[in-house]
Amino acid sequence: MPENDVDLEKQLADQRYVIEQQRTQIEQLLSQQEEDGFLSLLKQALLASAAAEVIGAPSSYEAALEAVVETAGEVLNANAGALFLIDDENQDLIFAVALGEKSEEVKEFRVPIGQGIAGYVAATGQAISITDAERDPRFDQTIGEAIGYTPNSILCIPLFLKDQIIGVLELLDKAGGGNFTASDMETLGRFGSLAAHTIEEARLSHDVTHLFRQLLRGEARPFEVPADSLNALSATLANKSNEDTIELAAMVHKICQQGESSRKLAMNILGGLLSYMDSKSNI
Amino acid sequence: MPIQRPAWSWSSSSIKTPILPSSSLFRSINRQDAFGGSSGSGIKIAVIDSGIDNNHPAVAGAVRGWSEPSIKANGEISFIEEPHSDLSGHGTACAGIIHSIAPDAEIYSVRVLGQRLSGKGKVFASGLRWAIDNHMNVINLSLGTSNAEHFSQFHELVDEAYYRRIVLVTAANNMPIISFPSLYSTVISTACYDGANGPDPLDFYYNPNPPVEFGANGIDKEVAWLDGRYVRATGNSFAAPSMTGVVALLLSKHPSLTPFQVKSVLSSLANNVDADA
Repeated sequence: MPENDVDLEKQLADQRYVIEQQRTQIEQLLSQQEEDGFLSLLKQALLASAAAEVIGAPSSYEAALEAVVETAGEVLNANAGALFLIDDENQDLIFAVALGEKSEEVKEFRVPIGQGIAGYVAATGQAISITDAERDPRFDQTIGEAIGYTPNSILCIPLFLKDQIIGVLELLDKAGGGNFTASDMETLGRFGSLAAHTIEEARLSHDVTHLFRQLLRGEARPFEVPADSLNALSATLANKSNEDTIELAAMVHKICQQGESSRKLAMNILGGLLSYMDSKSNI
Repeated sequence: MPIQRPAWSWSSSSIKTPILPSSSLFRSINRQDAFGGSSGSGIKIAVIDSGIDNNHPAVAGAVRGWSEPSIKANGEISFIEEPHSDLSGHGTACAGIIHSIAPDAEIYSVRVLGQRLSGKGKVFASGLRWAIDNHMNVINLSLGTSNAEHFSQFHELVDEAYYRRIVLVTAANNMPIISFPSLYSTVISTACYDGANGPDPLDFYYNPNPPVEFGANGIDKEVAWLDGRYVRATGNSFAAPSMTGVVALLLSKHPSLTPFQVKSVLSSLANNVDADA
């Protein structure tokens, strides 16, 4: 076997070992939530993988939500849009993203399940499209007033993740007039499935990153860490794509251990790759 | 998973739908004999939805009974049979469509959509149970569940309805997801369809590629909504009540028909099934 292949194989074996170690450590963490050594174990796991810095930027979750609405709006040529997420605890819908002039003012806006268009879609899982929405003042109250926009037509779909509805996506008015068609509903339906997965991936990354940062800064005590955050962490690590992310993080970590020049080389190479990808996506 | 394909199996465009030949066995069936002159009298229709505004001009007092399943603290279900309002407008829309086609049919409002998601499947199933136990002839379900936990329970209820000669008309989900009861073979699964958007409210089409079996008018349709108003809406939710109305007309004139006979008659009377083809 060529020497390079042997090196590569050894490197991969090392990386797999690191990943296995991390898994074991996470399992230990999950079973030792109440014990004193919990925080140091978690820190150890994070520092070993450097995953805390790699998994996601703090704004990636919000950016993902906005991207979902923006993309849907662009694809279907809509004037405005909104995304509601289901709050399991309070059993209502939270206005997560609103593309419009008053978008900041509606961040905490809530809609009861079952009420209005968005509430109905969340309750039934059925997509609907309304053409002359302004004839019913309820639509103006929930959507129009919130984002400073009175729609004529609304296309509203549920966002399914497996068999659970995690939110509702609404588009308001076709640019240049006209109504949303049944074909638009089909298109948005297909997009909604992808959007739900994107949102969930971003949420998991966001939760895990947030948890890591809190713990590393000593802002959260081990016993304060909610079980669902740990479960999210576990699920994130178990996910194949995140396995790759951690493997990548482990590789970066190993390169950085080689010293300053190796770290700068890695940064230059990855920076160049990112610039290339950015330029490609802008074409 | 017990089901391998999505409910959303039919394009809403008429461009791709072929004209289907009618079997010679069914060629004698025609619309006049099937439901000509019928107004739906003597037929009880349950609308399992968000409630109905019985004072809406489109419903015109056609609601004769009410039920709202409620989960007690001990998990038992009780039924509140006092008149209730419509929480979203959707149930009134469905009732208005049914009443426009079968004006003498008796409508029963079964409200299962509240303001919470938890327990929804159980409440929904209880509403269906109430409709079966209270001897409805037709049940309109412009809603569904994708929660696999309820698959068996709904399957049993739908089978029971079938054996009791109750016709279930369901809206297929507009989304590419698994949704039931619209996937079960004994129901009349309906989607909105642009070919049925003509002036005749009794237009409907048969889909040769189920699970969605029928297409009806549900695109850009003027429907009743809250506060006595109307809105123009699109969705399979509004196609299903059209089929419910047609079934009510048929059963009113031919009350002995079983659900499978109803489906056979409807398929042979569909606009795209041609006796001469």
